[in-house]
Amino acid sequence: MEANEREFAGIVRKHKNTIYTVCYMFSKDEDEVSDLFQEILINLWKGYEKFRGESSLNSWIYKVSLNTCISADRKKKKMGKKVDLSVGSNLYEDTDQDTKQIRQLYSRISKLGVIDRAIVLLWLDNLSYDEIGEIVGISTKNVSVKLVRIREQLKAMKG
Amino acid sequence: MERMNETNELEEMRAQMALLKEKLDKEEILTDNLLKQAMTGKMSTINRYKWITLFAALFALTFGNLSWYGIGLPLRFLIGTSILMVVSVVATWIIHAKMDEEDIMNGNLLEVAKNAKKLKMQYITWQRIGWPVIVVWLAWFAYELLSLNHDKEYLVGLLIGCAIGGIIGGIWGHMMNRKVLKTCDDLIKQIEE
Repeated sequence: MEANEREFAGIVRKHKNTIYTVCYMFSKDEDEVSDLFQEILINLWKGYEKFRGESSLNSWIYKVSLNTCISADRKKKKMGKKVDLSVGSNLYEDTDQDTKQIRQLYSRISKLGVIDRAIVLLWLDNLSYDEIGEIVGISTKNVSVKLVRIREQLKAMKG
Repeated sequence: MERMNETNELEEMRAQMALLKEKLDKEEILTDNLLKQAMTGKMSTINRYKWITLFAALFALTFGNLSWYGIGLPLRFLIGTSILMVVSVVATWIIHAKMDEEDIMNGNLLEVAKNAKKLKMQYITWQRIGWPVIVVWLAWFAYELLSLNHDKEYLVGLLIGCAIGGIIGGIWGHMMNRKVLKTCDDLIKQIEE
């Protein structure tokens, strides 16, 4: 492995949970998570040389992950060899109490439109309004307005 | 006030998010094999089309011109065809300039939708110009071919062969165009949903 490959591997290992979380929230099963995760890695690797640190590494990883999940052609058959993720638990099927809670989170988020889904996901991960605005492409004020609307939507879903 | 008033739902969702992170912390997720595979990744549909156009044009410029020159088609036809191909490649590359994979992925979500809309409009315009040009070029080709001083049966056979090739190429090109337009449509629909 060359130096930049080692550096890249270190970065994605550090942010693997972020990538997985985005994939999980935008997929319907483990297979789709695996495909999207692989596609995000490819896109991160392709964009890595161009990444000049204008935004934080975390924001960049979120941008690439969200863009990939939103624009991925889910019907397309994979040309390359499929490599599975090393994940012991199945967040779509396991029945333990924690997974049930996680699935409730998934169920709430997946009912939202893609932009709202992205906003709430970033908010739940404690990103600032500025960072959320930068990733989604809206103003900080708009983030605040959208979050109020998302809150109303979530309330309506519950009711 | 930067932080919105947290409701019970959102507080609960934050706690559920913490559970998810805790669970993922215990997982390896990323294997060396997966990383290796990613570093030799493949192109997206949109980007692939740009390269296919370039290679098809390069092939036609060399192989096509050589064979047409071989059967005696005039130089004006070869030059005209070469200009058309160069214009086609340049236009395709200009249209895709803002939709390079790295740009798509590094831009924000709304920017991606904006660029997809722009690409779609440019594709539609390009098709409106492209099809009449192809029809005129085909008529010119037939005229030049049938004006050659060869056995008529041979020329008609050649013309039919070229027409079949042209129809197959046209259908393939049309399918590629539709695929790019569909990719753009899906992307716009998803973001604007």
